[in-house]
Amino acid sequence: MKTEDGTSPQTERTNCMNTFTLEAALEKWRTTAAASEGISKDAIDEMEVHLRDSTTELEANGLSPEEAFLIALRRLGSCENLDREFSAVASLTVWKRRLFWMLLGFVDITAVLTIISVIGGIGTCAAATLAPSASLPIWSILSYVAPIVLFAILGAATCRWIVPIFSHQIVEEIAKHPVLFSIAILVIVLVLRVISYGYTAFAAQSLSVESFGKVATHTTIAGIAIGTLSLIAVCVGLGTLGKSLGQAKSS
Amino acid sequence: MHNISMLRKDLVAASARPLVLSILAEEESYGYAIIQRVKDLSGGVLQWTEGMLYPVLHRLEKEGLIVAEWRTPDSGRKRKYYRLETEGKAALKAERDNWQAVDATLRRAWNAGTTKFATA
Repeated sequence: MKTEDGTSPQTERTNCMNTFTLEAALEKWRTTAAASEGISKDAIDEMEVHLRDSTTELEANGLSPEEAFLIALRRLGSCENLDREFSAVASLTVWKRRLFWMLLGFVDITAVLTIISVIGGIGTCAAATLAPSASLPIWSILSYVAPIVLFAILGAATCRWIVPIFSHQIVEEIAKHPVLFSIAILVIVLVLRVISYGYTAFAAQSLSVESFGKVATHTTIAGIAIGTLSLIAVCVGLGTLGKSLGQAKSS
Repeated sequence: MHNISMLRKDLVAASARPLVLSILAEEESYGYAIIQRVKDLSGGVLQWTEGMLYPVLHRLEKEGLIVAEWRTPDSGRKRKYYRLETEGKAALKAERDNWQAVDATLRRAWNAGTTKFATA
């Protein structure tokens, strides 16, 4: 018994419940595979063609596209097994990549903390020069808190929206010119530091010894507070990351 | 009774290198086709998984015995084709000599006690 457009109820039911397309399935597989450390883009391309060939042959043997893909994928082996096989071959590359990420993280954190302390320092000095001494603490706190909040929002937005879309392009671009990237970050950090010290020196000239002492105290306390808070944040982050990695390995 | 299709894992692994080199000596090929060829050559006894083949291929490539190239044949998909290099041909010869030496030794050992190994 066929419906109006000529398809049998069986096909109709299958089409309604099953929106499988090979391209979508392969895209999903690519994303999972790309997340594994040990497999290069080239290897993923090679596996993808293999999956396509496998699927084509299985379909020719009478399986549905979805069944063919599932079996082809099963034969290919889970991504973890492939990861282990390829990792065994390329372990030095894997460690180089890890070290690269660690150094990048260190450089990034240094840059962020420097920017925060610079803005805070400049803000405090400006407040000391311009504002009445009663409101100095408030301005000092504000000039440290403002960049922290800004970075928090920026960081969250990057993780939530930008990284999932662009992570591989970003990683590949950076990986192509790691030295250049690191030098650029270090230059920016140095320039900021110079600006900060320069302004502090300038502000010191127009301040009395007593109020400069106040400024110095505020900036020191703020610096220690930021340092401690960021250390706590890093520990929490590492702990969470370690826990999730541990879960991933055992699953 | 041992099922002949349940070859020992280390045998399958050891024979992978000479088999891949031999298949690529016939003509250049790509991963999926190599697995098919091994299946045909062994009459279905050797069913390699991708997880077994690709690391071998990449190791051979790293040693410079084979070389890989992405190519699109007229009617097909873009694939990574592997080709045997001169060093590969030399390595293949060495593998052949090794296996033939082992094979000859085993045959002599079996012939020495022919009555014990009469097929049932």
